Amino acid sequence: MRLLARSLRHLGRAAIIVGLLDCLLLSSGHCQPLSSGVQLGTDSRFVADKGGLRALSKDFKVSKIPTSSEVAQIFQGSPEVWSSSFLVQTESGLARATQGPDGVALENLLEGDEIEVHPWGESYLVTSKAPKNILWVSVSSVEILPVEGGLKNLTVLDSDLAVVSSPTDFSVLRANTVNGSTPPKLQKLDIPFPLEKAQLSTGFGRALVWSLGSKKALDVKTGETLIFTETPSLGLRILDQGHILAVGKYSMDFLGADFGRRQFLRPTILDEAALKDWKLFRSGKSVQALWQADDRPSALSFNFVGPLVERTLDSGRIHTLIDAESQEPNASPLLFVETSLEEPKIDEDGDPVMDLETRKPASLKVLGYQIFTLDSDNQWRILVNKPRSALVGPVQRVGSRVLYSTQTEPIHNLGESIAVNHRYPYPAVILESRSVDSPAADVWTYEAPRGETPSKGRLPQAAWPILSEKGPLVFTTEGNALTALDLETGKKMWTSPELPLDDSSPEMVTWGSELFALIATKDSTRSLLLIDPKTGGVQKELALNATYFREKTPHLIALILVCAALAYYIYAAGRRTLFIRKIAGLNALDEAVGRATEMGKPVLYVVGLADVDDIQTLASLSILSHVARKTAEYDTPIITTTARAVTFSAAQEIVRDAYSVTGRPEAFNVESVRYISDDQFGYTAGVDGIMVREEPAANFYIGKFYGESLILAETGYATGSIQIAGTSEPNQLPFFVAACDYTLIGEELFAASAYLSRDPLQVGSLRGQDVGKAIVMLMLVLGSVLISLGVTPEYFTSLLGMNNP
Amino acid sequence: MRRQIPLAITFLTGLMMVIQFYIVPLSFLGDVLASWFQAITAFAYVLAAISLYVVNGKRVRDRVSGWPYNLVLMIALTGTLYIGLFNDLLGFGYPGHRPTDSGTNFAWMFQYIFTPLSATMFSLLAFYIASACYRAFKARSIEATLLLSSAFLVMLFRVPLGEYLWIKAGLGPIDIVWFIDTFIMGAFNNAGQRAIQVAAAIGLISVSLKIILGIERSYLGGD
Repeated sequence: MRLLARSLRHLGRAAIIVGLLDCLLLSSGHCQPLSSGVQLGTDSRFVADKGGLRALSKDFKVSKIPTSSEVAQIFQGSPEVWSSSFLVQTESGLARATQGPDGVALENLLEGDEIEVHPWGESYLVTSKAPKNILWVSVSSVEILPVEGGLKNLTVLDSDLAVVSSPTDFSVLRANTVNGSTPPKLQKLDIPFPLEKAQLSTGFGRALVWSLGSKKALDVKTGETLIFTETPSLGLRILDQGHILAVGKYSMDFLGADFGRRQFLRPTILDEAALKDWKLFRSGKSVQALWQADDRPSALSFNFVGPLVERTLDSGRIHTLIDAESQEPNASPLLFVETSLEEPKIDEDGDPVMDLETRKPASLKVLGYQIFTLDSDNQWRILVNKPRSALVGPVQRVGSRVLYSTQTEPIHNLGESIAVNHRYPYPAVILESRSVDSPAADVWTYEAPRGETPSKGRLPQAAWPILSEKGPLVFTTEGNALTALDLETGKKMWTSPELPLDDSSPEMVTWGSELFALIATKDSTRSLLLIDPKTGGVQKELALNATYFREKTPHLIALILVCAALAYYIYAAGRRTLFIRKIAGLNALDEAVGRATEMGKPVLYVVGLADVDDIQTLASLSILSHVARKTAEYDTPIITTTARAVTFSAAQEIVRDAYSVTGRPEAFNVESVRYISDDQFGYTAGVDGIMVREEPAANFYIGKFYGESLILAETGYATGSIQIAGTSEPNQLPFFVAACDYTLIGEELFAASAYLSRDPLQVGSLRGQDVGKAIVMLMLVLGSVLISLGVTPEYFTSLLGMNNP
Repeated sequence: MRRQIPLAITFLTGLMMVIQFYIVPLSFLGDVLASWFQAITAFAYVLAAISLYVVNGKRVRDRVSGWPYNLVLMIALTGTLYIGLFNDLLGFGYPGHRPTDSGTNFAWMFQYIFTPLSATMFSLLAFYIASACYRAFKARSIEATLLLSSAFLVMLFRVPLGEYLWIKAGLGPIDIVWFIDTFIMGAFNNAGQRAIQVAAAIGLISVSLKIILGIERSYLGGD
């Protein structure tokens, strides 16, 4: 009775917790990182995250906009045309959001898989895997453009022209009007050579349909036919009409601002006009080229105005070219070159580190950088040489200044031990800025004590966060705060209080001049912080975190149903006798121990490979308790083997307790519970050895087993033991069934404790399990019927609100 | 108290693990408790190692049957531990490297002693599968005959040789591999496995609930 009362008290507490869970379930929230989003007018800003679409109003309230599935991306053309609408791409479709008097309404435009949205002037071309058509979407119209033979590929060249390829031919789409309000039409290309193996290559806003067989190409834009010419020494085929086609005879590396090094293994078109100042040089087996690359979308393009002298830029040392743009005609461009040197690697004690493969002293690669400037003679002159300072983060032109950051590797000498700062084991990040107009004289450097320096892990990938053209420059520090620097002087303007940040880069959203927002990304405290750009003070904090994992709703419902059934039958168990079917494997436990007693041989109990955090191990330990008590009663030696240290401790306590409970604590032998090995086959070999040497009369394999199950069971069979196994691993059950006398299959393992103890509360749980199974069966049948009737799983997920957290 | 405190700890940690699975702000608790478990495990290893020395040392001392195996185990355990922990003391240390780095003596032992021994044990499985099949596949009843025939189909025709023989026998138009994959493995086998998994999952929930509520306590030993 006391046990029942205690259990009911526990149940009462559990009910309170479940009630609290329900309350939390009903609350709304947000759980994914936000993008900077789009703005409609001055009132609302819309941001997308994986879960859905959110609106941030002017008074900084966050609300959700229901979508059919998870939002992948949002698109908005120029604010003049798309002043009151934008496109929302979801996992399963595309919708147009339009702001009306009652708020934002979503109009579904397309449902399909693998949707791709291509901006095209003021309209969009949308493709999907299924259906395989092109959808043209403007601010007010939608039109399906069927492709004869099926769509293979769509390439947007510029705001007026797109090339469409199908398995049989090529077509173009030309915009009809400037603002794109009239749908375009597909026009087939008249190609003057056989289309067999013809390919499309694009670049620099041009498109060529070409065929190596005919050595001809068609310029899609001009309609002209081009003939290949070849320069065998470089492996480049240079066409006329301002195009270059690089074929894959040799690999070709491009040093560019955005990617560092590009390698084209397939033909690629380049604009000859942009290559007028190009320079090739060899690096190993590849050919490298440096040139002006004004096609890049980044505002950082290098104005390569002078001749490049190979001896000035030693190709052997160049790893990446990072450049800065100079728009002013009289200003000198700056060329950032990454360098490297190798030096002996030294450990913390100052001893040389040996390369264990070559048995030679290991070397450490130290990165550095150089800055070149173009002098009045149009020659590159070295301005800065920092061989131990690696460039980290972006090199960015802001107004008339270039911003970059470095980490300096300290010099280590042999025999001198290295003091390691365990809190910050890496070099501090130093910010530097240099005027483009007078790069040698106008320089500032920002160095700060550790904790106040920029956080290396959160340095931006593409661009430094600048709140406006005049600054300030904002970065997160190692101490999880925001710091703002004056762009002109490099002086610290303010540091915010410590913010809830984790190691990932927080999203920064610039929003007007009065406030800007930062989405702090620590999982448990995710929040949108509105920060005053003048003082760094946090003006407002909006909780974005969901309190509840909404995608786990079906899981929770199933759990509540099963737990309710279990709880009811546990409660009802005390009032009536419940029937339990016989489980042969459990009935045989006592018989097996009895046999060992009669033969005067020990019993072997193998707990399995898993640790106590696996429920199968706990179920196994429950059965061990019963078996150990029987062996203690009959004075039969028991050998329990474990593969995990914690399991060993738990098993030892259980066997010791079993001997105490039976009134024979002195009979407990400390050797009866043995830790063998954590390794799967080391453990198997150890247990096999015990079987062969000590010849137990009864073997129990109960718990979690993997590939060793049959090795154990067959060895036991060979030694002539009676064998009882139990596991819920479906892949191992056939092995046990084949090799053992009795097997507890799946749920029987978990029913063992109730079956053996006959405790009414536990027996009730068995009935609860059966009801749980009935519920699952019912759901399986219902699900099969509904799917057959065409009711999709999405219906239920939307019903449960899982699509719109 | 000896029983109530563990039960209270079990109740609280069990509840925390359930709640952290569903509640976002508390999801960090799962990692916290997992790291606590790691710390406890580290202490338990000391006990486990002592047990190994006690059990095997006693057998070596008493010269029981097979005691040289126990001696080999103790030497291997001590040697591995020594090389792993005190590499430098042997005079062939590897400054700047961890014992597990490729090229160290520890790594050599792992690669050239431990791995082949493990592979040897695992390779025994092939022979044991053959002997277990020999015993299990006997046509004693209708069910056993069905098992035997489906096992025959799966074993023979899911390998290239079986497929070759099938085609050679002029049965090419019937795709035997597709039949086995679709019906035997995809339907009967899959359905059976899933039934076991669903029932086991419900059993697992049941045991978990009983442990959290303190109804199931035999894993603690005693009453």
